[in-house]
Amino acid sequence: MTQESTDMSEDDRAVRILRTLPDEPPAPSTVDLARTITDGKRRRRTRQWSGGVAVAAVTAVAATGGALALRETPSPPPLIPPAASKAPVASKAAVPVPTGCAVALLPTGGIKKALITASDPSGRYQAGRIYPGDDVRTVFWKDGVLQSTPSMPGADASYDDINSAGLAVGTSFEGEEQRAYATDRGTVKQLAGGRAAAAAVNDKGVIVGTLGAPFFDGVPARWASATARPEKLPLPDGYIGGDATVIDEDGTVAGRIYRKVGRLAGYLWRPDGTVSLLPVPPGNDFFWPESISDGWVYGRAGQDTGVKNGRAGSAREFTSFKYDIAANKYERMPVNMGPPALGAENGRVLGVTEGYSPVIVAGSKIVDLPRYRNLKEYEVTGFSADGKVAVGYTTDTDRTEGVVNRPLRWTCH
Amino acid sequence: MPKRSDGDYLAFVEGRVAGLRRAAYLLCGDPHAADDIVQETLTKLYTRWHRIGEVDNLDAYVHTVLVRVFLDERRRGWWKVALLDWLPERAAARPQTVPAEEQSVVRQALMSLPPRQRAVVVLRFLCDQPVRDVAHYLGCSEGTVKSQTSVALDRLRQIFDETATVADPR
Repeated sequence: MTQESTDMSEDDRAVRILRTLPDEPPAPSTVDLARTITDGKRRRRTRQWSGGVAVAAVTAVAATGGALALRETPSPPPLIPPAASKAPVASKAAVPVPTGCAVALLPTGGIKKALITASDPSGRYQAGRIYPGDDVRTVFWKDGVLQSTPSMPGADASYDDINSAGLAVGTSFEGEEQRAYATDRGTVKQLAGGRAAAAAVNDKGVIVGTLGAPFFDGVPARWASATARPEKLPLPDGYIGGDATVIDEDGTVAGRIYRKVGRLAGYLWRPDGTVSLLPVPPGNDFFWPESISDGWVYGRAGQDTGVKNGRAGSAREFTSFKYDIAANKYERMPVNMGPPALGAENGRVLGVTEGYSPVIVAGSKIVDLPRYRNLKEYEVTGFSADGKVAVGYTTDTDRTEGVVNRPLRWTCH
Repeated sequence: MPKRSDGDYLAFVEGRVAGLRRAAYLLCGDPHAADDIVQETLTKLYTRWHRIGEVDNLDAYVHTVLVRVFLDERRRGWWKVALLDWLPERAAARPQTVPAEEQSVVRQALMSLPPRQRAVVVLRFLCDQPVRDVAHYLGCSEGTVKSQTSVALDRLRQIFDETATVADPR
């Protein structure tokens, strides 16, 4: 029996009720195995052909830095040879190693269950949720003090980013559809565009996200301000949708885009209007950005159906990388970090290890952040630009409380 | 790496179609859409079959494809026509028996969850998959699975509380 099957949720009333559901479809199977083979063979032929094109395109990228692949980047920087990605190089001069890190619980007005979902570049503002009784509401903290502000309307509300002026952006559900919101000094406003999600905001107040529904039913979008109409960000030929997920202070936007078939690909929209697919670190199938700071994109590369020593690994294996936009160059992180890996301007990176411990990576050094009490599992959700204030929450499971969420802030020198 | 044959493929999938249909049906709530999901999942599997090699966790791989097909297919719009008020004709295989009208309410509650939350709940509690595997299928962290589970169960509890006809089978 797995550990989680013994957690409190197993014995939950809602789970017991759910388990009364019949799971047999009420009609005979129409699944046609022969057709999976004929359709699969046809797709395989198509893919082999287009796969050849893809290989040619990748070669062109390696040779010309993306000009042929996209024809949209005027002066493409050169790509490093693949071998270089295996040996991390400290290209950020001497990333300062954090010292004296301390953890503190943010105040919640006496409510135990609460979490932080976003933090600003100055480290002064945080956004999150508290769960009073059976209710849930969005909240803000300023300088460690819980603010009295209205909650975002809608269900499953979440602020996903906040800037140094305290402008927070996020998303909630209205029925099955998502709506994007911005909150400025206590005033909650729905962003223009209808069905949308807001993922990130920079200190100039530029917001990025998705028009439509994130993941597989929307297009990347940008709002020049919280009161602006959204504009769709351009997609390369053949790509039909995606999400803008992060924005740098200079306006560079990164996200993930997709075609009708195939994996999500990392994409970059630069402030000068040029765009490019993020290259894929050698040996991987894709790279997904998770944060952006001072010209670096931090995220995960993934490989599907890997085979090791004649035995397959898991279906999808992730490796953490950072990408230097100007140099068009990847560096492998010294440790794999669960999403998200959050970069700071001084090159520090906040994340959790595969064992859910919070860490700050500084160059090749991995500094463990202190645990809160005896709790073991953490999510990190925000990192200040100076790499000194980190925020997140715990996700341990507990028989009486279910998932133990505690909003935490770490400060380091 | 030994090449996998069509015969291997058929031997593998024949024993799994029923389980995949159940999982797809729980995810989307519509028996026809469920079969479409399984058809697409197996077609994707076959397309890669000869390159998969010695995957020692093929079931996990197939589940991953199934969940992604479910989430991907949303953009085609069929999830909007899921038969929310459908009343099951067959008795549940599970030990508890609950009146049909309550089952309809339960299914409707499940369908009211946003798709990723629904996937988390279905995979964890109705397909008995561990958190680690669910995180893998969805391409997210275990923490996210847990928090999505928590939010989803909160919502379900609220719906069940408001629906007086739904009784706890305990």
